[in-house]
Amino acid sequence: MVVIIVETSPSSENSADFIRLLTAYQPALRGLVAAMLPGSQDIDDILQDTNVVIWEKRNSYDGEAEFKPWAYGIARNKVRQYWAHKKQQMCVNLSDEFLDAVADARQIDHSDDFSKKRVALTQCLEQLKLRDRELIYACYEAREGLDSRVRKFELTAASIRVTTHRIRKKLRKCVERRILWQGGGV
Amino acid sequence: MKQELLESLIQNLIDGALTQDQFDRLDFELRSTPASMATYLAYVDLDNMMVLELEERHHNLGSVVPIERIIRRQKRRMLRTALLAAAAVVLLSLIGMQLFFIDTTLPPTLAFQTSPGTHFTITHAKAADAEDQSFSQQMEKGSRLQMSHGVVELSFSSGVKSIITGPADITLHEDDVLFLNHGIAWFHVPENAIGFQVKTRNAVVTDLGTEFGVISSNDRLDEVHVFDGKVEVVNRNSLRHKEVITAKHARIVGAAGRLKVTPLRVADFRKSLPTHDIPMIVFQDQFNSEGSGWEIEGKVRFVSGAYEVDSCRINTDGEDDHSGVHFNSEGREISALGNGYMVLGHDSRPAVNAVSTKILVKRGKSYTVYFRYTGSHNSAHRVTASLTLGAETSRTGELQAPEASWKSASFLFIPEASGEAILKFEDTGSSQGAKADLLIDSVVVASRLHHKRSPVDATDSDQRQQE
Repeated sequence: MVVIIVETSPSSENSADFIRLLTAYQPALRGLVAAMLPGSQDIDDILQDTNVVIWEKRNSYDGEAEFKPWAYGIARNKVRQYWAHKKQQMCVNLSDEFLDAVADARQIDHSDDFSKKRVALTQCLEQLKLRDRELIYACYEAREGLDSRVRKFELTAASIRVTTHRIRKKLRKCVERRILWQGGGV
Repeated sequence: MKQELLESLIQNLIDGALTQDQFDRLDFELRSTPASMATYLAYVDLDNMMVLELEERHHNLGSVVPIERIIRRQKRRMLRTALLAAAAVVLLSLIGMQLFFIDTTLPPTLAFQTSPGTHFTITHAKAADAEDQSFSQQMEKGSRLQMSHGVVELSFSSGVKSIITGPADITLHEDDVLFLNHGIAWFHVPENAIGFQVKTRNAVVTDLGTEFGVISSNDRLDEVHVFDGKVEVVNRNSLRHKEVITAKHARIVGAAGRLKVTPLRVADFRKSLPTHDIPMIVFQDQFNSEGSGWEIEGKVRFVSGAYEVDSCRINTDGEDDHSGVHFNSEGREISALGNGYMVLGHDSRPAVNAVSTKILVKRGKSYTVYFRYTGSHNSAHRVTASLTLGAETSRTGELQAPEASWKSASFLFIPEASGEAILKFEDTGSSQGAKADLLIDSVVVASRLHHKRSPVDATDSDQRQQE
């Protein structure tokens, strides 16, 4: 979880509004960084760096234009800076065109959909068979701990990967259906 | 792009299990198809939300409970619930769950992983598109995996594990029956999977609780090697001999139906999946087809079996007079096939005697040449091997051939350009002296991707000699 620490005068109404705005957009900003850097272990670090820059530049936000594109622009730059530094060490080279295309596609998402998706996901997870739920939790509990998962679930590494893919696919479809039932867009 | 393939690529990208080629394909699809981009965003959102879900879960739980304890408690609860299954509530729950999930959580019969750089295709009895299924990396009854290069690890749901070195062609006949058309396969069978069978065109190998290897090839007789425990082997040919083979023993499956004793060769079998790309053999010759494809300078002969010149016979080590040793793609010595070899020079011939052939090389790859050599009658012979592309050459120095004893050598070539390189072996005019020849056998050229090192570590590619 990203913790936002800000220094502000409690009497500053504008600062309080800005903090509320920044907090409200945390899931969306995290979603942008995660989409541009899929599976990265550094998403929270990049998000924290983004928050610092957004806070430092808060005076340049005039409050008139939309917050989201302004904050997204800062996040995109942070991701590009990170990637320019990291890509030499990575097995797969994410092209600049890919990063831009994903960021552009993310731009049209609505933050309230993210909240609905979170609720839908919690419900969908409860519907999973016990073993599937424990397996998907274990996948996200310790992404590096493949050996321990192999031992715990008595499956081979390849079987764990295949089964995890199936569970994710089910969860995705479940979330999609629930959002549609609720009348929202996905 | 088919939806199943798209989703598999996306998930592998999230899991960090995608190659650059696969990513490039996915990249193009996402940027050209809005619906595919929407699917991608849905998956990264799911991944993102799962991370947040787990963080929240930790926060609510207060302390982390070991997963084993949770599973044990929940298994006990499930048993109690099952015993109370008369309740309509349970039925309604099942119906409710059906709205979201269909029970398909059984692991596949066989899942597989490949080493980096492996080239394979997979077809299924029911699938129409082999390419799509390549990314699922699982096999069911009737699935066939053909591997032109690389190594694959098979994990059966029964617990059987296998490492197969390509080129290979396997088909899953039943849950516990694998057909090995060709390839080098190692198997570990746990106790609960005893009875697991491997079939080749010439043999049926039934595991009786053990670790064993099977070699099947179009160029040689099938072999079964037992490392631990025992297996039953039935020869499918005429005489149909059957035998239980115990640990530390091996058999060749004869064409007439017998099982012939052969030395156990542990080194021929891989027991784990390589984490690096293994070299690929781009050229090899054991001279069993009388030297076709080689250009000759001076006097060169291609011989099979015993070396007999003017009623003289040299006694090199190995069966007949050929090299009993060949090389795999990594330069490891393995058993040779056939009994052919090449003889350069003869009987005081003063001119240089040489053979050469062309090999296609590519920039960005390195090429290692392995070969075996010996001198007949004396140790006066010297051999020089080289690989040349334009002005670029790598060569051994003049290697002195031992008398009547095969020796191995190798050298490395890293071309700066692509093209047809000339592989050459010559006796450098050393065939002087009575009845003296230079023998060459077991030539292998293996290539791998060349990763450039820093200038400090760079080696000189013009003159390199290894032995």
